[in-house]
Amino acid sequence: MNDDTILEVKDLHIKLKSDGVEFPIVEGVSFELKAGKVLALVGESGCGKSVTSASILRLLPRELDITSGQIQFRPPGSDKVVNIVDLPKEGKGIRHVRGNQIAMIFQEPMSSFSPLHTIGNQVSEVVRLHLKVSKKEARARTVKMLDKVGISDPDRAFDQYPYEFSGGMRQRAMIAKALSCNPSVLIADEPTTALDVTIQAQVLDLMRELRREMGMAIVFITHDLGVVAQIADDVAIMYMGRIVEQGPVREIFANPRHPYTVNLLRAVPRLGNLRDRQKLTPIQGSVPSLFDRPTGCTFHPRCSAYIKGTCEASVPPMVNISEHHSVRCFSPEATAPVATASEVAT
Amino acid sequence: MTSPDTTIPTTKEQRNKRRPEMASQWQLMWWKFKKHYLAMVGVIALSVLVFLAVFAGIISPDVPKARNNAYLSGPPMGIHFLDAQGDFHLRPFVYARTTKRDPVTLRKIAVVDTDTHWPIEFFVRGGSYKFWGLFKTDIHLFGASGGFIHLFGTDSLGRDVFARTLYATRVSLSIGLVGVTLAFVIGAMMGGIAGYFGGVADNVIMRLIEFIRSIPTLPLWLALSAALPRDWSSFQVYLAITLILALVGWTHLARTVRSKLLALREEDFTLAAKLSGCSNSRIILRHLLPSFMSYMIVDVTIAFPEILLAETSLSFLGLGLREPVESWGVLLFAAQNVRTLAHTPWLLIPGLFVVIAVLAFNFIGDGARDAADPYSK
Amino acid sequence: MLRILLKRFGFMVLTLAAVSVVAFVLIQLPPGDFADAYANKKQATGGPISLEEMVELRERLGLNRPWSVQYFDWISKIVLHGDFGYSWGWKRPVADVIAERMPFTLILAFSTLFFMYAIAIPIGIYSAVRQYSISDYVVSVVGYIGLATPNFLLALILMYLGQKYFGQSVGGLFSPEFQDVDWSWARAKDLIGHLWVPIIVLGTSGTAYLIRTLRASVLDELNKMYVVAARAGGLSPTQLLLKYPVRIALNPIVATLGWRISAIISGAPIVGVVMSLPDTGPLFLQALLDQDMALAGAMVLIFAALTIVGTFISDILLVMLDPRISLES
Repeated sequence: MNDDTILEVKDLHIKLKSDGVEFPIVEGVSFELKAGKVLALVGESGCGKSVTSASILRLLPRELDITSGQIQFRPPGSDKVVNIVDLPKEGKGIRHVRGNQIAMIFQEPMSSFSPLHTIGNQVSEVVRLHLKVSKKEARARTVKMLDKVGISDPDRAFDQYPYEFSGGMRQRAMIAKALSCNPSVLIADEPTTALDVTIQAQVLDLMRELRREMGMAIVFITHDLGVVAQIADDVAIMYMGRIVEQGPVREIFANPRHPYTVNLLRAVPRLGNLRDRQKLTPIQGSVPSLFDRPTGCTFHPRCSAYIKGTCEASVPPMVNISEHHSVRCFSPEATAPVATASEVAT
Repeated sequence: MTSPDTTIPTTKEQRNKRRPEMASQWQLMWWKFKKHYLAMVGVIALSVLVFLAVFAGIISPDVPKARNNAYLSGPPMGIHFLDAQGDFHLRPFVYARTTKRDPVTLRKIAVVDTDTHWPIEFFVRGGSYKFWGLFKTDIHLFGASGGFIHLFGTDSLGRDVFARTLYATRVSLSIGLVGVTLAFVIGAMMGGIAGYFGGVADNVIMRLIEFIRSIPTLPLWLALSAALPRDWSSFQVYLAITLILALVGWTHLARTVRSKLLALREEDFTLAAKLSGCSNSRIILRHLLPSFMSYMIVDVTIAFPEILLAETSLSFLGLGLREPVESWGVLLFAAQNVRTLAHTPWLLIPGLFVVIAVLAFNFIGDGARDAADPYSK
Repeated sequence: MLRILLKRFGFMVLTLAAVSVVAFVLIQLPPGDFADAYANKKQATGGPISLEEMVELRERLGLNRPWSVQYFDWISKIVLHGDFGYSWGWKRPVADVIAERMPFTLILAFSTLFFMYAIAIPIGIYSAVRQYSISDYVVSVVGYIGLATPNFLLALILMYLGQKYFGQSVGGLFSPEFQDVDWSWARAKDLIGHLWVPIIVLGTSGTAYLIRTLRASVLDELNKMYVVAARAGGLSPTQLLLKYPVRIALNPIVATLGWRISAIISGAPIVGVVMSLPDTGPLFLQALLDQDMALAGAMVLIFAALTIVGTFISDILLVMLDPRISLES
């Protein structure tokens, strides 16, 4: 693990057990998160990105199990690396990490708060739990945090119930809760998906601002490439449980290699395209069901660069095409090394 | 977080057979119902009860009114294949009973005589009865030649508890059936009016339901049936009791119908039907009713045991059906006294039938509730 | 908040009024009136009664006035003087007859209610947390049977077992030596010793029902997003369970309090009869069998009033427990 890496997922496998049969959900996902950076996990719903993120805090539902792989985490101010996969289930070890060192915010701001407890009660819960402060101090800290995330009249808001909050307000409160113990990693599972577009922008702004101020690293799960462009430093594209391409955002947006990534980017509306009256091209076909998983490269039935006899036979390896950019494809075009600036010039 | 659908078929054949997108709503429900193990147990148990009730006449070895003076308050007689010497007999038999006088109490008691066997024979002649009220016959499925057979023992008058229980099953289940049907009709109507028209009608009916539900049911049932004239025939009492049970039991159904209707009223297909000029009753019957039929079935499986238990309780207290009609409650009426019970505990056997029937309905109800929403997980 | 309470209170008063009409109708329902019954009784004992006497009796008792007048007469006596009329079966005022027996019914009903909740809440939570474990299955099976067995059958079985294996009657609320003595510490202890059998009989099906409801709602809550969110904050499983799912699952339990009271009051008479308890059960049944409707109607009224007040209390509790309700209206 590099010195500036704070979280590293190595060859993670997660399976769904149903009626005694196992289905792979996540297959060999690996990525690194550098301190203070934002990594976006992108993919269509059901690609395993949420499951991957939930597994980092060992929050998988009963039917899902991590079958192999490592999740290495370096707690702040410590040289010792913890393998989260090895921590006992619901034990002290993982509970100390949750909410304290790694925090998480969720997609549904409406259902992420219990309707019968006040916002303040639920937000200050983490502070009371991890910082072992008095009730009064927990309140003071929470009010400050609520103020920080832009909730007006935070003192009053503390005693309000979730139903008195709008969706955007709740997501702000959720962020306040997640950040109140000053975690070094924040996992954000589609935090803006359920919000209106204007509120989305506000929440993204808030997250960017808080990152600058507090310096935590973020794993940002989304299916929205527009959001990725706004917030992320690095991006990993997932398809049916595997990362098919990863690298710095700028590089991938400028030079997408995997046919899936290429298609995804084509499906994003851009002002430039509109001017030229270009049509958006949807990706042909749809994601196969979990139970009809294609062999080999799982994208091959929908792929434009499909090579008969190769793609369905085996899973393509991850190939580095530049220092940080790698892609999982058999197509020679996709894996051709990135042309250096001088070559382009000639 | 993704919570995966765990009910998806897992083998290839299953997948090909079950194509949820192609199946009708009822098919989906049936698939789901079948997976509910207890519900299937309930269906089987109930089928057996119904079979016994329907063929009570032929299955019981004698008519329920017949008195066996040689075997008063006699315990159940076991069927044997092995005799006292340990020899195996292909034809099952019961041991003979001889009557003696107790030297102390001078009461007549029946003594088991293991030397004499009364072999069991099939399709024997016995007391005559009317098969389904159609024709007279005296054929019974089985009997003991040379003597008598009382599988569940006899009561103090020497009547066969087995035969009486079967006939009682017929009456009790039919009361439940008629009562539920009545409750269903009243509930569907009231709920339909409340849900479809809303407004004042809804308000009045909802208040009425809340009111009925706030009265403790059993005392109300008791008081109503106590008010029935004493000189009514048993058939009149039967009808009146059924009606009383239905009058108090319709509220659940009405609530379900109302809430579903209120939701469906807002659906586009209702508006579409209205715009194309369908009459109110047509919209309710053709478009809305099928959409919540499944929920009503669930409610019926809840209402049925309630009515069954109510009838049993009423009759048990002597305020419902009365002799000479047989129902589970009427039979249990004889077991009211602890002292009687201590000598003849087999009089409680009809109670076992009550428990089995109610359990079966509860199981089926659980399965039906899960199945009613086939798209849920 | 206050508005809801007033609304609920108003509804309670209306319901009580409606119930009183039903009770009055029940009293009037059997053919013949008090004068007929009186005449029958007189005739049976040999003393004939003349037509003039009947007319005079009806006049004196106001039986020939319109029903509405009779109703208001009856209900205002109850409300203003606690006078429930006269039981000709007991030849005493109804109020006296009931007052003698009501305490036992209340003791039985409330101790049953208490035990029902005391047993159902921990077991329900436990079997939800240990879903599909052996103990969960055992609880489910016992619960199913408990729900399916009618009270009186359970009473009969317990009494049969008591008779057979302990050689003593488990019926009644007192041992013979305490039957008719004044209240004392020993008598109270004796009562408690006898009370558990009727409590089991009366409480089993309700307990089974509560366990099922609680188990289902805790399970439901356990999968909610906010529970996952709280888990992500680092709460231990126990802290989590007690703070959120259990707290929220208590709502339906409180909401059904009124119905539970109703069910217990419903079941009490039949249990009282089977176990020959000195409570209102046998009294009620005898009144019905004799068509002593003044007594029976009064008891229906009291039973219903208990339920309605119980429902009102559970409504208030629910409003206090769930802040969303205040918002809705």
